[in-house]
Amino acid sequence: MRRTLLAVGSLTIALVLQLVVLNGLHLPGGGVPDLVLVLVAVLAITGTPVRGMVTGFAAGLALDLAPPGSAVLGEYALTLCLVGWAAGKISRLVDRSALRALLALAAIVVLAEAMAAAISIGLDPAQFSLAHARVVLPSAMAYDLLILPFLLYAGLVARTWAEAGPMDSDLDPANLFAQAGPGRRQGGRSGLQPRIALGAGRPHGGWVATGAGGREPAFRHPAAPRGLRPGHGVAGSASGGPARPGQSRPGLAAVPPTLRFDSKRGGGRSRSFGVIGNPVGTGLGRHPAQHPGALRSMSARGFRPHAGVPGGSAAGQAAGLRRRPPARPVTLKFGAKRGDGSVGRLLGTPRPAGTGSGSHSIGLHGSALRGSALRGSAFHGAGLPRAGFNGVGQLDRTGRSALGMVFRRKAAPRFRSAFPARPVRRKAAPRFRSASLAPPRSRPKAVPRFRRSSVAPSPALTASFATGGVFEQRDLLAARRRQAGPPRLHLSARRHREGRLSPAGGLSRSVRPATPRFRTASLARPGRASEPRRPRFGYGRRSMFGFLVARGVGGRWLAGTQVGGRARVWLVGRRNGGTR
Amino acid sequence: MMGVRDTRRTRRVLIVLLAAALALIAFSYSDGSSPLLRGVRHASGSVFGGVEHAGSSVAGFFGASSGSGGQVQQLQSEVVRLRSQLSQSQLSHTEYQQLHKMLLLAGTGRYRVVAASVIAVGQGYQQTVTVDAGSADGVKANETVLNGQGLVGQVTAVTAHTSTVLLASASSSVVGVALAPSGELGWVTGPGLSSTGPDGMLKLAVIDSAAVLKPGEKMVTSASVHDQPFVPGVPIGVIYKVINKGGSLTPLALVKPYVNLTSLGIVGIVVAPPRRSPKFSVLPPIPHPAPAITVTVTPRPAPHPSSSGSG
Repeated sequence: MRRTLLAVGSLTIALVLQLVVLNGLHLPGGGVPDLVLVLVAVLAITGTPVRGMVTGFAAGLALDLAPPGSAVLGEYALTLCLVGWAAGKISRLVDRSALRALLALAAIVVLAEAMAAAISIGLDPAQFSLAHARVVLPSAMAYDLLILPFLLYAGLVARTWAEAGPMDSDLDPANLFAQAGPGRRQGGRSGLQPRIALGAGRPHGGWVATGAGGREPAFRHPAAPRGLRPGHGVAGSASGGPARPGQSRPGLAAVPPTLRFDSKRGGGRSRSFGVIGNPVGTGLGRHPAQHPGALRSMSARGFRPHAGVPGGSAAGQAAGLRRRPPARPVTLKFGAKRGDGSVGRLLGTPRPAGTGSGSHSIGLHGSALRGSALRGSAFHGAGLPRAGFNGVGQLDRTGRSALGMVFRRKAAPRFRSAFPARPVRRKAAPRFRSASLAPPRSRPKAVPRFRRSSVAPSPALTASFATGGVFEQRDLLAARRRQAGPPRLHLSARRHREGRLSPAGGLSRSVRPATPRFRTASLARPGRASEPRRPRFGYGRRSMFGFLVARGVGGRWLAGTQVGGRARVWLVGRRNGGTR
Repeated sequence: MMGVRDTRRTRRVLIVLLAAALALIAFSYSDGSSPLLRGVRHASGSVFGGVEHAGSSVAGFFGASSGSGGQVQQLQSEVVRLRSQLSQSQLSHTEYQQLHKMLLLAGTGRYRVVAASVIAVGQGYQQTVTVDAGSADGVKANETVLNGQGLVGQVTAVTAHTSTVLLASASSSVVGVALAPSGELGWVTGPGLSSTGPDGMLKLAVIDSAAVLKPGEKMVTSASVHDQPFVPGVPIGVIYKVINKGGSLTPLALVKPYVNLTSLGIVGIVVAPPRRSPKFSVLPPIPHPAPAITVTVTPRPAPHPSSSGSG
């Protein structure tokens, strides 16, 4: 809402300024800066493509209609609509590198100026000719590029303001998860798309783990009505803290939950916050308060990934920093690296919880949750409690993905140093976009799923989830020695928009021993097996900018911005894009 | 690119918006004067015109306060005096000069004018401006717009408080002219922005193929039907250069307009034509005959006529 107000207000001012002042200027070169065009580009790059193109269309139509107006209605609407779309497409660049965003935006602005001139020439060649365009156009472009950095900076500042607004807070993932019931979330908000940022595993690639280093969090606050609350963290916990309604901590309330599949634990550029508690709890499609007791009882402490595991992502925080707010919130990662384990591996090689008396994994399968595993012992364990996901049953059934709820906190732009220290909330833009928050009946299949390679879940395997087990590296190595395939994440881009994430490592190792981790589409479709494999990772379907990601044109450059720092690895290995 | 593939929704919105824009272009290009389009423009012009009006007054305030600079102290008393004489409030010194000249010209030609000032300039490669007088001031479409130097253009669209003026230099502007001494009839078209030669030159073509054009000849508007869109007698410009193209049937020339069409301030919209055509009376005093007059006058006080011959 603030964003809309901001766009309307700034565009109105820019429009008047353009028509009243700028167009009457006599600047060297003959051109004048096109303030509206630059502003549309800036507004779009701080938003989404849809918002950008709607903004551009509206601004262009206003420019066409405002007196004296264009000779032909719609020419600026067309140009600025395309500008908004293109700038919205590169909106993620602005969080990677301000310089790249600036360069890309400059290219868009220059192209748009040329396009506006071309439309003018096409519509009225007598009024404006190519010869004159050669004279005027360079100076106009130069003036545009002159004001572009300042407007971009102002746009970024304004974005932080807009997103800090209370009117947008219901779109914020943290608040939404903490406050909203399932019915509210099913409204299909466009701004709340889950993302899965896929990357290579880091050495301590996290598990979905629960527990807090041997504590018994489950009964600390038995009366807590909400199941899992992300972002209201006690130090080191992803979702811990008192889960009382209406209580929020002033400094910490705005941490969006993130479940990352990413390699980077980026300090300044790509920080994320791992919260598994709430995605798990809400992923089951019911209100946390009505949930079977296990999840409710977890609410006090929540899930703490890798708590208590030496080298785990939350170990240090669990050990020493309990009183303090987390200096760096927990990132939960699903690494696919060898020797590291993955979700699939975790699920597939259950090991009886022998290390600790009460440590269990929880498999978020329906039976597991309702069974005694959670209630009885999952969170009592002093050992290494962990949670694994079985997405097959739950996620498909509910139409919502627990693991799909990946919210990523965008990295701060480089201008950020001047910003207030308050964490900036961003709308989570989809990386693998799915409709997982939409009502399930509308598009039930567009849900990122963790699935096994075999189509139907085997009851025996499911049962193994329920019993759970501690999975460690030696299990993985042992399993690999037993001719196991590497842990895999299947990204079958069969349908053009859904990336399915399939942790099928251990489960299917007898079925398919050594398939690559990231399957190409040709494997998913046997009929096209002879097709040369392309890594369908990251960008399965080439967009209109596909030529830009071709290797010769600078694909590395862009791919480096695509899925984190390790992304270029995926380009190198075509068959198996892992980091082996 | 950048991982954000176009979703189906994005694509749908994009297609819808692009189709809407193209449909608008096609519709207004094929039938630019349809009543629907005119209504839409009128309605939006009322809204945006008001905003522009406010914006230009703000901009004018800043411009006036900053532009006067060091001369404020000297001119203060004079400005105060002039402002008291004028009905408009915030007129700067230059605007007063422009208004003064425009009223002189209008008085000479006996045009009844409504004074207005340019508040907005067309975006991109249009040659249109918006002035702050509209139908509430008695302005109608297809009326002549002039200023102190000569012809500016014609009114093409009117809202309540603003009007859109198509400048004479736009490529779609055609003005019937009469050459000053000879009375040759012709027409002047705007070059648009496509002129490759000297900037702002209008193109003159005369009807009589036997006419001989000379640089320095002046021209005024000739009467239009019902004096619309151009009233007779408004000065346009002087012939700058004669073009002798081999294949053309009629003589062509480049005309340097009196008015600097890229920097307009106060203009007047002729709301009532003169009863009789002013012919060439509105033209500025001819510079070439003027020395001859001076020569004949100066010998009386001094017996050395050769010294003051240049004028």
